[in-house]
Amino acid sequence: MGYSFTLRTIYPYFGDLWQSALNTLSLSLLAIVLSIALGALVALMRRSALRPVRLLGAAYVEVMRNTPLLVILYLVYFAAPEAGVRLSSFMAALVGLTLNSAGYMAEILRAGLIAVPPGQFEAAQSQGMSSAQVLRHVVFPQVFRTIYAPLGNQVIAVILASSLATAVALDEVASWMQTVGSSSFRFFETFVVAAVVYLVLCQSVNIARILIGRKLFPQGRRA
Amino acid sequence: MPTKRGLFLRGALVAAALLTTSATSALAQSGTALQQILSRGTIRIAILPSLPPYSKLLPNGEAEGYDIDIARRLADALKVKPEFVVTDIAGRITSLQTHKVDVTIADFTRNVERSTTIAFTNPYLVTAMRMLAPADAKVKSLAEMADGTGYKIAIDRGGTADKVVPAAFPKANLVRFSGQADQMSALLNGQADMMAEDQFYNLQAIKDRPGKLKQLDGTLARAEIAIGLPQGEPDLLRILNLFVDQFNASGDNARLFEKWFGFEQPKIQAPY
Repeated sequence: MGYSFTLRTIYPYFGDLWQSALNTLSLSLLAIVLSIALGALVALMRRSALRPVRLLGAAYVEVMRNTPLLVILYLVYFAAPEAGVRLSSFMAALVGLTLNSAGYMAEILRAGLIAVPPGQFEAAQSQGMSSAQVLRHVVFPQVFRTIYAPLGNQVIAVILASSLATAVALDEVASWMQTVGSSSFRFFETFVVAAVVYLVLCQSVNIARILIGRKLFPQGRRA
Repeated sequence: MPTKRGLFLRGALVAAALLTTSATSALAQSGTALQQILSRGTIRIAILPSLPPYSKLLPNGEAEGYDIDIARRLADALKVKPEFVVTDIAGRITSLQTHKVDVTIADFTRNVERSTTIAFTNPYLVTAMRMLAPADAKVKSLAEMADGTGYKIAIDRGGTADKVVPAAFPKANLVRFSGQADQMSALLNGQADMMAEDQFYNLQAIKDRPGKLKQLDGTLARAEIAIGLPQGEPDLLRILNLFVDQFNASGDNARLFEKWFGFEQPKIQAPY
């Protein structure tokens, strides 16, 4: 007995797919931006002169890298209400995804920080710049140029990981896939459609990232 | 010369085509399901892990419940061993479509749309979908909920509730979960105001959590619970229907129901 692959049977559900894809995209982009900010903070903590601050930064990275995102999402959505913090599906997914991705972002950014020659810090300070000015004008521009390619991996990882938000009842692409699959019983069709949607979303974001890279770093070391 | 974008699109199409063909060929298996069950000596049965008293996984990995007992009876009748495959709401169908299991016995509601991709036996139980809410909720009946404005309702992703609840309460805020355990968590810690489930599951849930839950008056939909099997298996369907008919007629079904649910089984045949 063969299976007849017919997309026609799931056409009526394509209307909802648009909103789901928007949810996936907005959740992922927000989580990427917020986790770069949080990751930068943690990366700087790991280079602090104070040992307890360094340890705290390292502990954050290890906790986030060694716990499944699904567990973090469950904690934020199902367990936090017990402590009086009740977040909507979208907010819970955003918080969980950001916390998780920041652990990885911190490591990527730390690699970029290590690659900045120590002389650059000293030279900038000798120009009379404050620490914040050194980071803003000297260090981070170089960090981002170094890490721009590995950042692409993490950006895609966040978009794909956002599919776990289906567990906390967010209507995103993976949720659409399961809901339409169980309603229509056309799982193969919905699996293939979801795969194509993720492929297109990831590639669109990645191509946008490459184009932005060309604008930011006109010569060399771009990817 | 093809552009970069052209190459990318072509690649995506090839990938999609490969996915589809491999999915199709994996499904085309020879030998009828019935012959395979008999020659294998085991019947593979898809079950749900957390839908007491229908089915429940114990900490030691064993399964128990009304559906599990039915599955054991079926295996006995066929003189083969039961092999339980734990799945989720979506897996009840996909595992049949991919022939990973021979039958699904998991509080499975039959309807015409579902029957276009898999087959169902005659029903062994008729139940209703009703609303479960925290005991201290102000609302008492479905009628009070009007169009559902202001209510957050937890439902099974793509289950029967996904059709019935939006139809009954078009303004309600639906939160979709993959399984009863997550719906129950959401209900108990306030992420949802109520959940739509099988009334018999609800009664058990109320008994298991004294003073915490209540069932609202009024029913959402009638549900015929049946055994699911892959489509295009007339021999297996013929034998399963015979099993179900005799299981119903002999009184075995009524006895098993009373054992697990603690009250008399409602009539399986609707008066029409």
